[in-house]
Amino acid sequence: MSHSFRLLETGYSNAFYNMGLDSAILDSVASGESLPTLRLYGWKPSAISLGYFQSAEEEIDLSACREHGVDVVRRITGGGAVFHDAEVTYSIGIPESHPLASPSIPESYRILCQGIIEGLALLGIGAEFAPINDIIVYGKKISGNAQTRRNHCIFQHGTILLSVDAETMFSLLRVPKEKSRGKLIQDIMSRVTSVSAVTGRDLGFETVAGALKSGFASALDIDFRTGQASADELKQADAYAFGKFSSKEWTFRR
Amino acid sequence: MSLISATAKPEGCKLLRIRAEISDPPGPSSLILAITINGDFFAIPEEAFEKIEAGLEGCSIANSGTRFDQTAATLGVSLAGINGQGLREALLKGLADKMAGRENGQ
Repeated sequence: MSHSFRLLETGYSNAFYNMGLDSAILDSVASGESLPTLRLYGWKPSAISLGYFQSAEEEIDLSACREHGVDVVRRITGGGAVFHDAEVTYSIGIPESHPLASPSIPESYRILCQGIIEGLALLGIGAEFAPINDIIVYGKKISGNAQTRRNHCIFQHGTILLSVDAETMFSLLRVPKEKSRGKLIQDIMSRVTSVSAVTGRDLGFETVAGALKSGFASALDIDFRTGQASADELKQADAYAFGKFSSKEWTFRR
Repeated sequence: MSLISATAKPEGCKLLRIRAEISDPPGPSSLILAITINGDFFAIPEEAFEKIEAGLEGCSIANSGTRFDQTAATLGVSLAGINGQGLREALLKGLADKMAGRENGQ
């Protein structure tokens, strides 16, 4: 029997609201007020999200971010800094008691990432899981993913790159002092790929988001009910966005 | 008291950035007085990680890996992309950089 999930397609929002809504969804799924949920979304303006254990000063050129109008937000999940620009972002929340949930963190990454791999396959992209938390195509990363667990709920979010603007990315991120920017861009382009680089086509947000939805449905046997965030979730998302994710205390806590 | 710092990517770990205050004279038997461990790794629950950092205070660099793993296990923290051996390696790198007169070695 297929698993009932809520599907939220929330379009583009700023970094603070995006992380606020993710947290609100985690809360509502954890409390049982909402079905297990897949959310698909984008970022406007572009932003950098920091992993929970990263230092903003160590990872990011904050003045360059201000110059480019790029927001900086800290995630509730670990992992590395991500430049959110041309991409589809997803988040998925399921109770730890759900049949798709594994007590093992590596195993739950593997299970949930099957939805992305299947979605990419629908676009003609042969991708594979690369532990701990990446999805690769021909050895190059196309999707990074990060997971946490709170209140007996597994919550994972991640990105699928539509294209890569390495030049802008490395004008915003701090680079090791012994590496030139040119060498670093060369390095990253040898390790990172995107939907447009692999397919040779500009498929766009809607096409890739649609493939992801189908991929999750097929790979994880999910029956999606397209829905909207509840009034409580929206209220809580605002509270998180303004009270937590846009605060200096949270962003610069490490 | 001496300050050491290092950026390292030990085997089995994500990128680790450590800063530590250690007792003098600097060496593997120096005690960790304070430490911050940043990086791309995962620790769940995230909030408990600061207790692991605090648990390293008073421990020697040489024994830091064992202490790190023991404290994480005691607190029930699940780790991915970081382990005691990797942490110890990063601290030793910071120590070697300090002894060689390099700072903030990457």
